[in-house]
Amino acid sequence: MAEYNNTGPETRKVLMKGNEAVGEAAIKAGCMCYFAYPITPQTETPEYLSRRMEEENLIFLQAESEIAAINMVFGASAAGVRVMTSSSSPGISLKQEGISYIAGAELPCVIINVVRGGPGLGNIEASQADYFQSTRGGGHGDYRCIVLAPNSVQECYDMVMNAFDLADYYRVPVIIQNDGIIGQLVEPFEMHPYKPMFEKLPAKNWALTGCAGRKPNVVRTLYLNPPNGLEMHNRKLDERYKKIHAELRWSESFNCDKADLIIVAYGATSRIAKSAIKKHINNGQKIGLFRPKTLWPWPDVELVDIARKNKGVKFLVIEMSTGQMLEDVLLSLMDVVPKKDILFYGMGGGWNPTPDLIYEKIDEILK
Amino acid sequence: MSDKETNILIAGFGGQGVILAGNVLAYACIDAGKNVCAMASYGAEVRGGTAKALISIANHEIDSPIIERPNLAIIMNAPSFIKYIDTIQPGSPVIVNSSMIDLTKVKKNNFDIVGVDATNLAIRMGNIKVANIIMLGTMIKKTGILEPQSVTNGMKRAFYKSKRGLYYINESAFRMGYDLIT
Repeated sequence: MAEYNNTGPETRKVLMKGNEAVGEAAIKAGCMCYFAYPITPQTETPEYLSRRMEEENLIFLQAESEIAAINMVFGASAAGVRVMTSSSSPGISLKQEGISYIAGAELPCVIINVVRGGPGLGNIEASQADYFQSTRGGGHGDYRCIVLAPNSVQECYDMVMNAFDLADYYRVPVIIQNDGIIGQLVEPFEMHPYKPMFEKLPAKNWALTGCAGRKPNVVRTLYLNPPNGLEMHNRKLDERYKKIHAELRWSESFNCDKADLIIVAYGATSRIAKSAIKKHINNGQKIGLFRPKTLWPWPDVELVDIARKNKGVKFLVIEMSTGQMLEDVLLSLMDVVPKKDILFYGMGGGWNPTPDLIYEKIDEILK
Repeated sequence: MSDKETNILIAGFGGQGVILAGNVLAYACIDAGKNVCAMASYGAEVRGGTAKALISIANHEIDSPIIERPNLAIIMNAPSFIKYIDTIQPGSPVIVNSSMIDLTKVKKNNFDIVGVDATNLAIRMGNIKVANIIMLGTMIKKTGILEPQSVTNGMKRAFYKSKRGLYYINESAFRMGYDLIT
């Protein structure tokens, strides 16, 4: 698809796959290095970048494995440059050790996960079964990654730019949790120039840039001394995660005022659900959609707000998994909505709902 | 076109330009100011096996990228016809490559089938690869979902840079397909 992309001046809307938009956004956001290993359904990103990064005189390297790729990311990030890797579920599992190290070393980087069916090699169809892996850490230790979940090609493009800014601002890894549907989807989108999120980003005075004329910097994840060194380090990280939770909760709601039923869904599922919801609205039903755009920090305050405004409302969580985000919905709403009013619809491993299936499920609940 | 979504299936074997035809159509929609969203088969496909592209076109925002029941189709070879015909909504126009599909032997019930001798016409034009665009031309004339000018504008964007030379033969192929039916 990439070779058909015409970025000419006649119109600004261009046509690309989600995976290709991810690659172009990274270049526009100043990503200097990209290290990855191919895997379906994200291979269009390395394919696209293998050509574009050479054109832009940037570093593209197909590593010998996912583990090598993430450790290259670790090194490049420590040197203070913007760096990205991408993979799909089994490859992201391999990267977890590296992600834990990067989080422990307080380094910024962007990781793209185009989720496919699991466990194990699973299949190549879209899935959302990596929600726990992305939002609960994935690797060892008490760390969090910011997780952004796009649901259109435009958002793939915009969120990758945001991801680089957020990573640099908070010094944490940022994961784009995509899925096989949005990654493979072809849609027109506005390929605007890089839009920075922050007026000024903190200087990278911790980076390993050669220490001539200054004290050496050390990037490390091992805290043996002083004896409470690790405790202090983890406290500092925890403070940062609390700050992120306070400042960064993105969500979108549709038709949630005076709703009888609110669907909670993200990524491709949110769009499939929206088709079904619109059909019900046309039939006079009051149904809304709540879509988290950040999976971590989860937009709990926003969801509670909606629940408080709609007394007696029921929630239906729809996921391409057997119930992972469901736990966050239950935790957020535990003091506001009785547990019996929080329902779930989903299946694991390479299954995707259709508008008709969701329509029928809603019908069943409203009866 | 009304408020209804047009959901198009383009199917054939790998190499017939199924996905390219989808791209041309998508660029044509951008030109016409319509919303469009396309999904192609990916991954575990084999050379010579069936390939498909699904394209949604609407004047309103397109929500679900999943298309279950297309209401318009271009089918370029017999295995694709057998594989996909039952997914298409009954009564829908189906443009069929009669060079590769024997129209006397297929079940036509409920479908508005238009046969186009596309592969043979393309060979006579000097490039077998333009069969897809001939069929696209016939489909546009049959349904009127887009102005032909939008499609040729779309092709200018689909065939750019090193592929610019291919624009002219594809433009002729499109005109030929467009003029095949009245």
